[in-house]
Amino acid sequence: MGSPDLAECDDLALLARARKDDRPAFGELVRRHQHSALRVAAVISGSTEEAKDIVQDAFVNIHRKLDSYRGTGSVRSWMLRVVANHAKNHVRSRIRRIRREDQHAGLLLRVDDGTEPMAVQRSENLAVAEALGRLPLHDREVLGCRFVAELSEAETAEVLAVAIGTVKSRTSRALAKLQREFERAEFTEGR
Amino acid sequence: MINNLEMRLADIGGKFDIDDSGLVESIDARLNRQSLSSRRSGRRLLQIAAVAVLIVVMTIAFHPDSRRAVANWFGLTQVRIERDADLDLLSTPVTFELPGPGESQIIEVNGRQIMVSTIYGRLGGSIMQKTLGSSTSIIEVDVAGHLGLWISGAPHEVMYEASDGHVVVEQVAGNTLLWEVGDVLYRLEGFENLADALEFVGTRASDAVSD
Repeated sequence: MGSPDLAECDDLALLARARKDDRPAFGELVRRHQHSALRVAAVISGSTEEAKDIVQDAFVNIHRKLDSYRGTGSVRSWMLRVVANHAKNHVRSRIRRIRREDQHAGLLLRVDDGTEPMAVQRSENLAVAEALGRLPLHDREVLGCRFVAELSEAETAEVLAVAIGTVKSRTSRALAKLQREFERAEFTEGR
Repeated sequence: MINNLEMRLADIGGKFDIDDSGLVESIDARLNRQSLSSRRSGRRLLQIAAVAVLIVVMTIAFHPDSRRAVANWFGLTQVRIERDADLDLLSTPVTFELPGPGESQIIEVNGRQIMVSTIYGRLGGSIMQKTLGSSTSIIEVDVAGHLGLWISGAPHEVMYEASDGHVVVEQVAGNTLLWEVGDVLYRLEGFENLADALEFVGTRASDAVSD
């Protein structure tokens, strides 16, 4: 996968080829958007460990319903919406299985080099990740799309199937909650 | 502080500890497996359909009531339907031995026609049973030390797993005794009650095919 021929195709062209059972074309679509998909899945599910399985399931499902893309919005947004829905379903099914307070234990960050500035930054990032993980699902999903996966407001609106105005208001409220959560955690831990 | 949080969120997105290696390949492999499974499922449905048709044909051939119903349906009330010449009618059950796998036999016991069929298959494990009509009953029985099922009542459908893993559907019109010996499944159809069927099978259940 990833041939020069495919790399020159835009997403719509790849989708058209994938619909004709061109598996490498579908693979190229996955490869292009897997990083955003993994970030969205991780933030919404609250688990970096489970993100890969969620994304895998979502892309298998996407392949099954390639014909359902109607051309409203970008192919990327459409695919990320499927990923987001899979992640939300995953959370709902897990909520039924385990206690509420255990569900956001796993937004894990890679270990950087051991220098002092990196260690401080890592500590702060961990605190933000933990605070993010404690927010309700609807706050996590909007912050995850906007900032963690770095989608535009319009893309986030398409992924979450809401109006752009809703994205703006929800983002503002979610950031305020995140800040309070972050400060509460700092106070509790005596930083 | 808000702007700082936005930067932090963007920063942690790039630092998530997610192993994304081989994701494309994993998805591709799953799609291949699904595609293969789908083709197998299609073939299995065809095989089940073929077996169901065969059983219906056999049922029609072996049961006078069914033959009459089909003949009436076609408006052929005066037609005489002959039995398949390949299936010999035996009238001496004392010397009767259970047929080998893939074979069927019709015998006459006390004036009743009894059909015995043998196939490679199993009742155990993933057996699925489905009855048509609430008056059908299925009970598990011991047939000379082997697992068996006695199916009685209304016409019914029995599904079981053949030796190659395929699901086989059998449409059965009369009371039926099924029992397995190793990888072989026997079917005895035509007895009114279980006691008569078990008495007839007797030691033949064990003798026909060794475990």
